[in-house]
Amino acid sequence: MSLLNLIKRLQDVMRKDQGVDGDVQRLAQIVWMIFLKVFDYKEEENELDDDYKPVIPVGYRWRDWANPMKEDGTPDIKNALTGDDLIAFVDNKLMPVLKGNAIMVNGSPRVVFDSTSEQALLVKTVMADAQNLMKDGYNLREVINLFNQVDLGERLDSHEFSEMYESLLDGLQAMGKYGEFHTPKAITRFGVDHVNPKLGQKCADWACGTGGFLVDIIDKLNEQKRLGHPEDYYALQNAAIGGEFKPMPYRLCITNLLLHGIDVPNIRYGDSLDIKNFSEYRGDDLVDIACLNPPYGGVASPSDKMSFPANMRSSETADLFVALTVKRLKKNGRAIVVVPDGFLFGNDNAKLEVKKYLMKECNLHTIIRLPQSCFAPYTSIATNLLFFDKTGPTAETWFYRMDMPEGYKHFSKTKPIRRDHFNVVDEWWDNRTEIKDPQEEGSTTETWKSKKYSIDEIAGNNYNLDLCGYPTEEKIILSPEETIKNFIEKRDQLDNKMDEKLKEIMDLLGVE
Amino acid sequence: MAHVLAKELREAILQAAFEGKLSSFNNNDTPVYRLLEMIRNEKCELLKKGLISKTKPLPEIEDDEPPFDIPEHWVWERWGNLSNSIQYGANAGAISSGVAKLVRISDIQNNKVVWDTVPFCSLSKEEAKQYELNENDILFARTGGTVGKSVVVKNIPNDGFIYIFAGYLIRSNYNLNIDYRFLKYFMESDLYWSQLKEGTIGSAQPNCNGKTLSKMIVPLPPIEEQARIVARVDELMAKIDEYEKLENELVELKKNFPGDMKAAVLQAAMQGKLTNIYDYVECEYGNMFEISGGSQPSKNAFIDTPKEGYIQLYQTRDYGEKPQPVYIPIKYATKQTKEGDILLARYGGSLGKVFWAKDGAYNVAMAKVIFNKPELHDPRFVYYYHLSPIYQGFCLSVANGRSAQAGFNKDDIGSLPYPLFTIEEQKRIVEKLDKILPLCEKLEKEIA
Repeated sequence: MSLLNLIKRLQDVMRKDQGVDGDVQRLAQIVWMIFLKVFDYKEEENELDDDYKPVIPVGYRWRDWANPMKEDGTPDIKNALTGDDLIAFVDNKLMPVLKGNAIMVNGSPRVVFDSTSEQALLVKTVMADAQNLMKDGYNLREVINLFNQVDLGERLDSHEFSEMYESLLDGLQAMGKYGEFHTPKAITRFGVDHVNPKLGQKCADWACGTGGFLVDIIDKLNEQKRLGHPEDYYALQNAAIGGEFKPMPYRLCITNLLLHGIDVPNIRYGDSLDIKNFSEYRGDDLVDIACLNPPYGGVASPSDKMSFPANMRSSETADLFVALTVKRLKKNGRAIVVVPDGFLFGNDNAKLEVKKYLMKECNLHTIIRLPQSCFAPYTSIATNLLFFDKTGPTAETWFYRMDMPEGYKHFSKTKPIRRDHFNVVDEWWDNRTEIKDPQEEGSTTETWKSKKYSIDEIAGNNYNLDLCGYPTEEKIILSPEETIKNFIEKRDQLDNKMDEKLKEIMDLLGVE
Repeated sequence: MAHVLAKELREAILQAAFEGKLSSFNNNDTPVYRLLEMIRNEKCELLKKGLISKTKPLPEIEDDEPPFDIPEHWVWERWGNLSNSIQYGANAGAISSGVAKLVRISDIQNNKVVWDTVPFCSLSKEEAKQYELNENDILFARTGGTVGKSVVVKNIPNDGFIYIFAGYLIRSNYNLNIDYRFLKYFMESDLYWSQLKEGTIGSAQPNCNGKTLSKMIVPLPPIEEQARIVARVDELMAKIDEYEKLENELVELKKNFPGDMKAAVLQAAMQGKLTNIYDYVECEYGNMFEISGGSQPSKNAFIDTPKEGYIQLYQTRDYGEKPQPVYIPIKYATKQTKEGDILLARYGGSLGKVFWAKDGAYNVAMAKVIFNKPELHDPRFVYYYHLSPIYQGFCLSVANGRSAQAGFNKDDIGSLPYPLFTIEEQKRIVEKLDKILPLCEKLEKEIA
């Protein structure tokens, strides 16, 4: 069955269930089931190698409770749990067991899933916050059966499954709450292409969300794998490192990487900004490649800020992530970070220090400005791609403004940004020239689509990186939450500045 | 109304300055009575030389005249006694070329003379000489809407023309032993303005003459202290200017916020984000709706009271604050709406307005929204759609595009995206908006 149909039918079935309200909850329901199915499939694959022992205890594997088979390989419908039995099993046995909790066995509590292997821990972490929201066992059985129609054994299906997964993730864009964890594929692919990771390098995304960047890195490294070279296989398995601190995207990311062939995805479930003190990062903490789209508009917690040097304690998480990336890059390492316009033109003290730090420790060679609606419909915030490497301080930075492709007024759910839209940027990348905008009639102002600026010019302009911007800014409508946040932030900023100014006046008046 | 602190601060600073609170006594300063002596002597000299004319002596300052106390080492003095003369400007008209240029009240903007706009006048070089302006002259307007406005003349162009001042301006030839910057600040203070008001005759054509200026009392510190006060006030005023910028930014921010909120809420609603339903079909407006413009019967057919056989012809203003009902014969009422229909204003300043129609005919300035498949739509949702940034943004781009008078037509609007939700979902969205939007309205009042 086609992928779109599968998703639609999944949603239709779940809509019938009282317990699952709204697309977000439906997604939460799908995610842990996908994970378990995929994980079981990987276990089955691995069992072909005699040494492998499945990690999940018998009876609790997907193949046992969700998809029991007869001897002849056909689905054992009679023994497949359904109705109240299924709900009882899932709620009272499956969930507690997979979380590593005790259940009653023969009258006494026992922890059935007691393995502490890496993979066992992976399962327990992923399932830790999972919940079964469906109340009707017949509906649940319908959903499971739909899943089972996708046979991961078929190579085609497996690829299709991961594609379906990604289109599910793309669909997340429409779901405000989780859109922030998914960068459009076109952008991650473009970023990874130009950062150009090599097999054997350590690659990280400390704000990995659903794993967009990591998966692209893995795909690219996969192309470099040679047959008959097991060391390449191991290099690939160990290449990607991630960090994500919200449960839903964390689960989605793990599943995403499993689908891309990583047996034990190395994703740290926690706050990447609060791991250790800034000055303590060294040696193994450093990576060759870093690709991230950090969250912005968020407010950094006090403990996040305390991990950073005093002069860089910004409240804006995006700023902290930029500093973190600079710190954790190895010498000659390469990085791409997605940042909002605010980072480019912001000039509060902390931001300024972060920018100075970035351009002193690293060579910020390219900034690509992206058109506003790239992340539509999740948000209309304008974003930019910072490309830098740790080969030395910045001497000059190239700016390039990517304009809307022909025939597009803006990107949307139905007309999203695509990788081929970046072809014109790829062409420019290797053959950089300054491109002036055609001058408007009667205007004497020069604007540029692409230009390079020296570090002196940038420093002289107070590190305002808002260059080669869009000539006519359409008024952006943000989400209500963003609108309120923005307003409060600006108002508080102004209030603070006004208080400061009044204090200066009082000082001049000699008032204590 | 937003609280404006900057203005109050400036007034307070000036008041403090003239009460002597921003400066202190210094032994080395020239005592103020010496200053007054110098001024009197210089005036005598000028009188002897015939350079100024004799004027009636000004009355002594009564004990109860000064409105506040000043430091012991200062003195109150009348403006007339601090000036060598008070001179009215030249009565001449503006002409297109000549040798003399005439500074008028209208050439004074933002506390500066705008030299570019100063026109020629008919005076000859000789006639102009007595009115010739010098650097640091103080001029003040003696009549008109801006009576009392003052300016220090600076940066007189060096282009060979002789610059003079016009009849409605008075030049106070203050004694050069006085710091003109101190005097200028005085002319911005409350003390100056209240004395001006008292001395101003008539309110229709306010007029304040040289006598009033002469009589004004000025608190006078030693000349060195005047300079110190000026320096302090300059510093403080600069800071207040910076503060005022921030204050204005804040006012602007607060002004825009409620509108931004409404737009954001409506946009989110149209994307299903308010109700967490993302299952909509992205259609084109043109597939969902037809817009049908109203009729424009001849004005001869209009009457202004209802009559048998006539029907009200609604115009845009009739859906606004000041309706002016007109009626037309039913046979001309080719385009009509029923109560509950949706009308869109199409032209000019009203472009973007959306109305719930009443029973009656409607004119060409409005268009009715006709639902191609009524069973698909909750009219309240359609109404909210037209309030949302999707439609409003479209109207803005039409207004900014060709002449706003042209308005929009079917083709323009046909390609707008229209999110089609199920009827139940539309209802839920409407209910949510019904709750949230009134709160945004309230914001408008409370945020100011």
